[in-house]
Amino acid sequence: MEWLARLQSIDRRWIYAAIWVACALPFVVNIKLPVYVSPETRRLYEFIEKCPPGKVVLVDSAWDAGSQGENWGQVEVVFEHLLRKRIPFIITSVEVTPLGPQFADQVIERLVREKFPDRKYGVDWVNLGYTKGGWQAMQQIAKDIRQQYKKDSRGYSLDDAEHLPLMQRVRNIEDIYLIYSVTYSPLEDWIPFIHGVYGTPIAFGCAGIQSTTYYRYLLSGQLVGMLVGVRGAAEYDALLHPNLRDRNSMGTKLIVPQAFGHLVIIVAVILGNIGYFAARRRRG
Amino acid sequence: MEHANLQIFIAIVLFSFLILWKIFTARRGRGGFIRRIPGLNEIDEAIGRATEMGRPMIFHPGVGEVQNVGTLAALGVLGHVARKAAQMGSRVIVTTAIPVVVPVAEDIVKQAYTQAGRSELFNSEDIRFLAASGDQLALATANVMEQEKTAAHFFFGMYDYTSLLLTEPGQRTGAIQIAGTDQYFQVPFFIASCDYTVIGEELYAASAYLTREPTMLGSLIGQDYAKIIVLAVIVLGALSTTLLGSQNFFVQLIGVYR
Amino acid sequence: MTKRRFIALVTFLAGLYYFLEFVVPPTIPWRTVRGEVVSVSPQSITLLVNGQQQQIPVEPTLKVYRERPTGAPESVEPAQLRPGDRVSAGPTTYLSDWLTPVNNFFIVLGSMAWGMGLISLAMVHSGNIRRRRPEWYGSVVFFLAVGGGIVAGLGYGAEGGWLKEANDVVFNYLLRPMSSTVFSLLAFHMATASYRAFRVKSGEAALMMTSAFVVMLGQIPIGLWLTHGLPSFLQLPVMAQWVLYIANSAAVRGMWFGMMVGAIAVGLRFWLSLERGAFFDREL
Repeated sequence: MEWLARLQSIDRRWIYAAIWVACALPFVVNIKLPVYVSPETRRLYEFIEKCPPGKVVLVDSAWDAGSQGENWGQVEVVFEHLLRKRIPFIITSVEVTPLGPQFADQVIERLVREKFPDRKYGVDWVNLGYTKGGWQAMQQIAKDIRQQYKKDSRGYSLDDAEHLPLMQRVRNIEDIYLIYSVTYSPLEDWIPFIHGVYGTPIAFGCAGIQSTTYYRYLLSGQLVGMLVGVRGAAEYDALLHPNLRDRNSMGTKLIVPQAFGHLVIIVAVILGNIGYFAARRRRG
Repeated sequence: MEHANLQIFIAIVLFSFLILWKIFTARRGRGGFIRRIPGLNEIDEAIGRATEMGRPMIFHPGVGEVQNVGTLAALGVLGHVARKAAQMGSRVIVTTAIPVVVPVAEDIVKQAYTQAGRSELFNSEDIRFLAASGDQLALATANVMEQEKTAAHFFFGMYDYTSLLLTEPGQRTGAIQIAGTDQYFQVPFFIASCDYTVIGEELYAASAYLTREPTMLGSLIGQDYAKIIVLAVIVLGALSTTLLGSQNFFVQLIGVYR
Repeated sequence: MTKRRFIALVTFLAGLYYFLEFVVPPTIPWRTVRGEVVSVSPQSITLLVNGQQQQIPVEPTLKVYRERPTGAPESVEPAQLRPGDRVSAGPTTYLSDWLTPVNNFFIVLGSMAWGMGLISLAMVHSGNIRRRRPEWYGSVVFFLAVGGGIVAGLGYGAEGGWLKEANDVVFNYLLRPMSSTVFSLLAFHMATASYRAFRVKSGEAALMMTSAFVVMLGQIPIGLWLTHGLPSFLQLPVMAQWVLYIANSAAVRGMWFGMMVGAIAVGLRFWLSLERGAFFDREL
């Protein structure tokens, strides 16, 4: 029984090693896992499916290197859906970080190169870059987007019909079908200042740990859908590609180390409790 | 919501009235009872322990801006910690990622040592702006913990994902760790890695709890009255919606964004 | 006037402005007209008020709010109005007009403290070097890194040249990977923290552990695989969804209500300088 009691004091380096193996294994062995699609992911997917012609999606890509593990996949799958259905979209980052639009560019460039070579910048998407101003910037975008942005991230004027034909039919919130905010912890200001005033549907893509505060918005209908961490990206990829073999997004790849990592933590906690109870029994 | 509608205005006035009423009532000697909050009880113990061991303490006021409510509450706790440390002749190191917090924290700690008659123990280099971002600050603070061999760690304020990066290395030094945050999703990390955790609004109650000042106690009691009103509105709203449908009189009365 | 009383007065006036800006209507209530837009011209707006037409002259001090379908008001220019819009119009109370300049003032004021951080760091590290404290060479590296970072920052937005290369190296090839690396440390720390802390010492701990396992397994494909043969309400992903949507939302809402009321109290105490322990050793 003594060895059982020792289970509650395993050297932490063994746990580090187990986590390392769990996270590194999928890079060595090619594994794809099926996922259960949660209601919040399915709602976002079905909402984008119903987008009427002529409308545009605004993507608030406000993440940086620290959260790219979770947000990259969330942006990638939605961009793929929008490009596939030829729903034009506008990329920006409001308040949080100026790096997000640059990362979004990298995601789109890869998608266009590999899957949608006929999609064009200025026609299918526009990147407006970073803007500051919090909820006031959001309201300005809603009233008149040209009051908040004069040029896009490449330096073209928003009135330049030759390079940005998409922007010629986007004036204000009336032209926007959905606002999809992707960052570690999306600003809740979108909900009272845009959804509450204009009724525009909002969706979030957030880190797993932050998602717990946003479920109440899903229940109240203030969010139309949500992608939760890596799992949300993997679920969305499952909706885009029903066949497991066709899925190769970041979310599908990263759900595997996440799954193994969770297992390691669960096993470690169980072992620790076995050790605890064994030690308690020994003490009588 | 850019401006208050009638219902919000009434709520603000009512809550403010309740809080101010109880503050002034408490100042006239009619204070109240606060239940025990274990995390806050242990602060004095931790300071005493660090003093006995002859090792300094670290106080980390979170990564929120100085106007953030959690940061303000944390600075209130810092005042108490600094006063106790000054009385016992112990050293407090404050680390922060917000430059504006540096002069504020310096003022608080300096005042505490001066009032205790131990101004010679105050060192402005103990109030340290270590880095501009939370993750770098966490690593730098962990480095300070190891270098200075701190015996007590206090983490109060607004925290993001870097909370665990602070508390796990702190655990390994063997120091006693007490944390308090209003960030709901960081609470599990603190509970897992700290000896005592103060959750949510208990952080806002910290000043009142530690100083037992009538003003603070009165404010706490006023808050509880306000919460009772909120609870009553929730219960009445849920009952009325269940029994009378979603467009009943009570819902119309409370109605938001109108 | 003593320094403390002066600080208290300035604090009160600043807080008073924000309080009034929020609670005072944006237009003078007794001179505000509510009605439906009949026609708009550069000189006036014609509204239908209680069955009668009323002309409102368009003046520089006029503020117009349009009621959105959500019921929320939206600030608009008279030229943006359309017949049929439900609006309220009246002379401005000026408080909201000053919001942006006041905010900018406090941002500038706050930015003056940015130098404090650098000065504090410089003092600490120069002290380390002067007194040859242990690992003083790290402080030398600090000054070199600050200098290098400033030089590299000059290359931000540059088209080419060595400055751009330096910027890329420092920010894209050093800072970004290091940020991701630091973020990934959380996985290891979470595993050891969970292993060390989560012991079933009581009934509540057992309940917490059970819900943690359900949610963790429900988030990953293994949870689906373990319980796919069971009725749907017993499947781990479905149970995890219930915990996140219902139990978690109730807890979050309860906490948020308490925290928001607490925030009102803290704000009130600081506004009226009633806060003790932080900045004042005696009452005013």
